[in-house]
Amino acid sequence: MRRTRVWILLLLMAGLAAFGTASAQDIVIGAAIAQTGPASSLGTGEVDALKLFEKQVNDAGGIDGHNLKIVLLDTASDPSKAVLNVRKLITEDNALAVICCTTSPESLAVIDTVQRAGVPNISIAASASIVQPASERHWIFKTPPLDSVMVTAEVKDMVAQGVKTLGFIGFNDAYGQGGLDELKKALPGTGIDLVDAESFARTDTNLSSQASKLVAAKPDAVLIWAIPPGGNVAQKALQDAGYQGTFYQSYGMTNETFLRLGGASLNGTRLSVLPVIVHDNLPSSLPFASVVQDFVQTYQAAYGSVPSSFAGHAWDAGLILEAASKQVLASTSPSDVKAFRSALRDAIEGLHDFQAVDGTFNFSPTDHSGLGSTSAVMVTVQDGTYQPVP
Amino acid sequence: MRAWQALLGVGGAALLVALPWLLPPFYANLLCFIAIYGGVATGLILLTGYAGLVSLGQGAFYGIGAYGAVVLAGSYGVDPWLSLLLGTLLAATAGYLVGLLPILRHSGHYLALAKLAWGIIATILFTQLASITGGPNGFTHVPVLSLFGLDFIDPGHFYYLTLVFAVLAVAALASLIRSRAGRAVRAMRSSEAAAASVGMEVGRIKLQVFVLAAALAGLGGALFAYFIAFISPSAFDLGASIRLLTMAMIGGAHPLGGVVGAAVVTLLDDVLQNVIPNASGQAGLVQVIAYGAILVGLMLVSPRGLEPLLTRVWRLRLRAGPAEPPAPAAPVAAAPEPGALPTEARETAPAATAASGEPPAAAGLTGLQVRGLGRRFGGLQAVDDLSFELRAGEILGLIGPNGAGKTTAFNVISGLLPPSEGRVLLGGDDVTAAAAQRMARRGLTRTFQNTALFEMSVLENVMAGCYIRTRGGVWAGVLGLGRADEARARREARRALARVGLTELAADAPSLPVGKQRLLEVARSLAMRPRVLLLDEPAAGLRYAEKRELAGLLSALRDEGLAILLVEHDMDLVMSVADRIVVMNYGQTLTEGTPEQVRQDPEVIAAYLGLDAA
Amino acid sequence: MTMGTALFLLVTGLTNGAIYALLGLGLVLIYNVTRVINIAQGEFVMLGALTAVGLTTGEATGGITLAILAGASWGLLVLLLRRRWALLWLPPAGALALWWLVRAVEPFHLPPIVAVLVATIAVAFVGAALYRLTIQPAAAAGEVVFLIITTGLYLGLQGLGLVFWGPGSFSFPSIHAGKIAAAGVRVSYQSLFVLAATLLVLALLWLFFERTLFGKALRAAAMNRLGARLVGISPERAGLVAFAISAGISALAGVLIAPVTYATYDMGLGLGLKGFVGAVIGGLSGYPGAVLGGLAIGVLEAFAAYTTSAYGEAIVYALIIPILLLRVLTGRRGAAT
Repeated sequence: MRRTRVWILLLLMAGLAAFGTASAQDIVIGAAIAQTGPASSLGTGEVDALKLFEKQVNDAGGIDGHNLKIVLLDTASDPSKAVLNVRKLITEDNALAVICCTTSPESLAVIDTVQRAGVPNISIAASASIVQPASERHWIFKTPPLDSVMVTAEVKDMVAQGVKTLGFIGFNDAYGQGGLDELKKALPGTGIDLVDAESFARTDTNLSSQASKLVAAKPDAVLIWAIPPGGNVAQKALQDAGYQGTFYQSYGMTNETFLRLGGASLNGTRLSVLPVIVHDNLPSSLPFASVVQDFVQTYQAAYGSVPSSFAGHAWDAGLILEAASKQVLASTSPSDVKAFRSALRDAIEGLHDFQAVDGTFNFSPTDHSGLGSTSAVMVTVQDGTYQPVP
Repeated sequence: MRAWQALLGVGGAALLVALPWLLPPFYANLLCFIAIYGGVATGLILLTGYAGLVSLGQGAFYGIGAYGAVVLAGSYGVDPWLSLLLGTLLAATAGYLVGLLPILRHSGHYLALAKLAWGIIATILFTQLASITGGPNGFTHVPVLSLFGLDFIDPGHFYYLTLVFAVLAVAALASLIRSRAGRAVRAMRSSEAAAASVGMEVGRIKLQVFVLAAALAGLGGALFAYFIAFISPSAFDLGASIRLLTMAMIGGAHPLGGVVGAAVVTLLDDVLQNVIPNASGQAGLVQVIAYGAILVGLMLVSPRGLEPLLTRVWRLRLRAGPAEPPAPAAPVAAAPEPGALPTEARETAPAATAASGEPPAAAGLTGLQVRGLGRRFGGLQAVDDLSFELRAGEILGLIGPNGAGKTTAFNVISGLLPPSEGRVLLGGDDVTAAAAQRMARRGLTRTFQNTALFEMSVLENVMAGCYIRTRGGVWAGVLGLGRADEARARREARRALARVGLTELAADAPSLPVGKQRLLEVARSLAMRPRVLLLDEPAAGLRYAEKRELAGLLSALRDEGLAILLVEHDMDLVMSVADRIVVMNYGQTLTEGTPEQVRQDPEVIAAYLGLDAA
Repeated sequence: MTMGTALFLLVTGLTNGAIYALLGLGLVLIYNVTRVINIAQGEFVMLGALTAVGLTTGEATGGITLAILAGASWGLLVLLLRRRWALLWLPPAGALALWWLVRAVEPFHLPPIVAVLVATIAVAFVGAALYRLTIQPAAAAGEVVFLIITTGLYLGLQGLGLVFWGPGSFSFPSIHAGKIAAAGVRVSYQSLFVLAATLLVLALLWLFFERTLFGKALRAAAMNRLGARLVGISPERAGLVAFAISAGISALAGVLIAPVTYATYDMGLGLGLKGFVGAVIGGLSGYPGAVLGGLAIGVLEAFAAYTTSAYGEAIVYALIIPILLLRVLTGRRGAAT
């Protein structure tokens, strides 16, 4: 039987399938990232970070002497492809843990697969429903802060700025919808009225209609929930339509494109960002400041550019898995895949006061996100830089 | 021989069943995808490959089936198995509604565009109807399909569900395309005009085919949703439609094309993923580019996809078995001997007419009356005030120089073009401006100046001619019903072929020499047992001996009571067989009379025959 | 909706509509001459916009790669047209020369106008080469196959765009920044520029088709391929020129839209499809029709999104169905023989 299997395999896949060359002692982590498709602007930074992380760990002698192997697969931003890839990583590559996926729909799609297979998964996508309710997300964690953390920081700033009426415009996708949902939860009790909420598609080229409606509603401030260049297009459309109020953007905008495209027209725009974005302005009182700076320096040395916040999410997934693996290695060998996966999950859930790029992680059986309000830093845009709001 | 074939079949089936055990566990996932996509692509092959209707919106039906099933089961507590059925019905209904648009009657670009737009609209609806579909985040609470306590979760188990689907889809297509309705589908693609002229309801068949393809997409989508246990709009967007169409194009017009195309694309994805070194970090990018390049390359190398290859392999298998349709053609092809033909034909023709319930046309009755017929194209009056009468049991020649309006007159009379003025009466009933397929049902059919044969075997072409005299729609074809009718059509077709003296039953019709193509068209018309037959230059391209035989055939048909309108440039032929002749010039009737009268008419000589006389 | 808002929507709608109109022109040109529905039309827009950005700002230097591609295609074209295999050195030489040229000028941050010209010409070469390499060999295969081929081109070109320029977005400077106020509406100079360019292209096309011998020949080839061949116009040459002009026009559209919406590797498909819708509304064969159709789509889109931003896009595409219905109902019955 075994012989037949091998033969058929060889015949079908001859010279095509590159089967894993990992030894049983390697720590194999699978990563399914959106390298192509609509989310590729997020995924490229994540891939770079994971490759760099793998190299750095192995250059430093691996995880307690075990080689770290990160198997990268492209999901093409497609949930069903993400499922297929994760199944492949689990059954084919015997991954001890999975980092998946870049977007919320992909991350939601793979829940069933990792739950059934019993493999710890760290998602690097936004939506809260990826890890909530934790009782039904036993094997799933995530590194980016919850939308609620970021929205709350923005709403707090609006209150401080005396905003009374607010307009919203966001993508009609999972990201934009998540922002709007959290906003609707955060506003009651703050005295801020949501006077108009508009949506647009990632590929829309003309937002003048939505802008006109927002302008007509006369809000004190407008919150834009999108990723570049959509957020830029929306802000520009509002300015073209004569909007004079305050602009709030979201943390999804903070890759290098946002500032480069917007230039001086962005001055005064306010947004809550992740610590990595303001790495050179971080108050050293923050316990994770040095982790952030180390990451940025390493990344810059390797790629010559500042990492995006998405790269930071991926890096954190690596840090968490490294730390948890170290604990597990004391008692379990990576060759016992099933036991290692289970112990790894328990170790991740047990991480407390773990300092990483996105902030301080405090996982618990009821909280698989683990980030608190310190992960959101309020900034304003000034002449192409982010200035922290005191 | 038979045992060998049975062995092959059993072996193949056993291999399909055993596949999940033979391959590493992960490949069960790929097998499921191949089977699901394969079933859906099989529907697309029917649409694109056989019916020639391009669909860039199939992903929408796929999505409706998926959402329909899991939303009903997940949100409304419908039994998952029942939800598969309901999802399929929902997709079929959507297919029916979209297909109802008269756009469908137009194949080609407009249809492709309308389908594309429909696909984009459907994706927007999946995204925006968030309270039902879960919106952009997708729909997560998908229940599990289980049967007698066995849960279909593990891909190795789920595979059998998808296998049943794919096998049923392939069997349905294989059964359909060889049936009466299947011939109509294929005929439409070759020539809608010719299909209509043998009485095929082109619009209705397109609609049915469309619904069938939508239903297959819907069931595939429902299975996909249960397999992944999660759905979101991006799985059913334009990209998905393109992917499905790609599979269909790679497979080509063959019952197995969908599954083969799905296998190629799915395995290609996997292979590219494995082969392209991940080190560059560009694996995904290279994959997209390679995908595009392969698509373009395949179309350049083989526009028919893998169909030629599949057909070759399949034929090898079929030859081995005696029970399959093409095989019986062999003994028959050898059987007809020249001497035996006329007797058989003469004996059977009137008998069959009586059996089919049509009143035998009595000589002298009015067959076709054309009164003051006119047709304008913009400023050009192609036919002007044309009147004549064609009686049963008569051959009327219609002659005139090139550009005299003969072919236009033919198109108007046979219902392909509506007249600008005038009336057409068939058997005394006013049938002015009736569509070609209605004319066919009333007993009038035609041949074409540039032969319009269907791209199928000679025998099937003539069987297609039996369309209105047999029964069985698309659904009967799928289920393989109506074998008795099929057998009757085959008998009829052989008789009609024998009558015109064609023996190459299994040959591809378009590969015949021109002369034989013309005879085949006549045979196809005869298979309809028409009362009025319009022949557009049937002798063009025929050799002398063949013309003689044709003349004999026409005379014999006339003697049986058929009314024949003959457009022909070969004056010797017309003069020898026609009872009367109408001469047209510049769209108008120049004169009318017996061959002798016409031959001596000075106007005719001046306009037309002058050349011969001189 | 106030009058001011309506005017504002009208102007922005016309601006976007002008882009769809340019794409529609390109599609109609290709369709008329070669019977190809070009799904990849929008990718020419992307190539044009990103190349021009790279040449002007030095931000998106993927233009170098495109230059190599264009150079190679140019060489290949010369080779294929003349069928002189001794000229085999031309493709690499052309590629090298262009590569050197672009390398030489890229640091200088070309003035936008020059960048636009270079980008347009480079993309025109790419268009011609794609015709020669992928469409012409399949000429006998028919329309369905063309559709699949251009779908493959769309996938391939978009993938190349991602390789050359990455997933980022890029801005192209307006020719003249700022706005003017007229009738209470502030109109950006870029909007006026886009509209003017569209009219100019239409006028140039008209001159080309009406006043030049080759233009007339092209029109003849569009009307009757066989007839054109009989009088010595090769449909292949006509197709090549149609693709080149069409790709050039689309590249120009890309440069015009870039300051308004930014340029990304995946900007093409949506624009191309709307251009297509516009062209079909205009009848898919007439040039003024395509322009009017494109403008109509742009305006409709603006007002539809104002009514319901969630379904604005759906309304635009849903419009196709009644329009096709109208075409079918007013057209001839049945398919001709």
